[in-house]
Amino acid sequence: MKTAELKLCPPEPWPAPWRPRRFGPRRMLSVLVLLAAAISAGCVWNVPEPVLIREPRPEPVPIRVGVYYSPEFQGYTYRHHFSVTAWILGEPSAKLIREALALLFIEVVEVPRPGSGPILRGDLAGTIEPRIVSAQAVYFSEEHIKAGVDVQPVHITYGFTLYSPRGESVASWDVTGRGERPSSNLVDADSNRKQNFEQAMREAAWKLTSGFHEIPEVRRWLAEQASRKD
Amino acid sequence: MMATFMTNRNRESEWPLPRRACAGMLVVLLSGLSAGCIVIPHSAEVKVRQSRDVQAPSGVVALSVLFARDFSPETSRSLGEEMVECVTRDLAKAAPDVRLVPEEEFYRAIFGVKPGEVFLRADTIGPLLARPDIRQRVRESGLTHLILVGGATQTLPTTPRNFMRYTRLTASIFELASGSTVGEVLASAKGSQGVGTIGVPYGIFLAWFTRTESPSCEALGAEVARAISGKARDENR
Repeated sequence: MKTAELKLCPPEPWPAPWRPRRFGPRRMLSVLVLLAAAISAGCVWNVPEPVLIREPRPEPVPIRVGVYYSPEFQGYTYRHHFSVTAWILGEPSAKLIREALALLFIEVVEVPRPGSGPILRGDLAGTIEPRIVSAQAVYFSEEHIKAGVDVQPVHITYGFTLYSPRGESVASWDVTGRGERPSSNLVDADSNRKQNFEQAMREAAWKLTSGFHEIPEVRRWLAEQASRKD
Repeated sequence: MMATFMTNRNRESEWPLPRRACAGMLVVLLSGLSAGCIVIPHSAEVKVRQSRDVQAPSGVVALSVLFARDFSPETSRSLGEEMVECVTRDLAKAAPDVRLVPEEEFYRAIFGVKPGEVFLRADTIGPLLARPDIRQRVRESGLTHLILVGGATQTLPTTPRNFMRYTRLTASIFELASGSTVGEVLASAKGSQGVGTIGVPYGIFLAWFTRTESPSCEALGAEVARAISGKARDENR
């Protein structure tokens, strides 16, 4: 008679004690590659902090408007192909324009939808939607090199569309600001570029507040608003 | 010579020359390399003048020296700050009776805002100071003058390896009560800069440059101080 053979699974080996992995040249190389990739992908970022011009103050418009900041506008980033620095322009632009519109109108309300649909509040005379049309930093400006000054100019153009309460486009216009301050040395090139972006944004915001009444369609719209009140 | 060389070679088979000679050559080479870049500072040719004779203010004078980015967009921040320092330092020395008001205090007292929030430009200063609310603030603050500084340096090539540096700095003096300009002080400096090589067989790089910004800044400060204090130029220097 054969006895049944009891087959048992071989016992699991005890786990080896944890040892830190060696930081060999391969690992070092992969870390370096990852680092280089991160830098080339624009992981170094810089945020300009423009200051709004409050004096001479613009003539205030006695109406309430809505403003819609699109996600594209708020998330706008600029990076020159020469540089690893990404310039975060959307957020500071939204802050600057928020302050500029608050200086221009008696009340500004942020609305969750663009002006192409019905707006939420009935007392708003219209909705303004800002956008960044273009932003650019020039690293080798031939014009400035010829003039013998070390300038790396930047510019920013904001576009604005004013919508009626029914969502029709009333006016659309652009304002451009430039920053052309010379750099004092090579070391402060990025800091200088930041100042130039701040100057460009500030100038563009100044053109918005000081030139708002000069746009013909806006002037007509303001006249309509005034006649409605009367 | 050959014998010596051979002897040395035999004595220290690894080296074709004795160790001392090698060390000596190394020292000479290192000193040659360290002296290989010679930078020579030059002195600049400086000129100062006033656009028109600035009438020295009478009575109590309280002023602020500012570098406003909109007034002189071509001026780098470091140069602007250096100019404010030069003018303020020379004014404090030459005219101790003049009350010097810091930038932040000036903006708060006259415009009620922070520095940078005012668009100070040649064409906006007059209308701003003519506004009744700002006139009132000027009267209450006791401030009498505003000095705005600006300037820039240009570097233009004269030959492929030589350049000429031109620095031109200005200080515009405004009377706050009238909102008009009292005068302008200008300081300019020029000097050369370039690179060359001397020496054979190693070329020793020779570079020379002229500091044009600091001397013109000092000259501007002294001239503004002279104009405000009403002292004669020779007396001031």
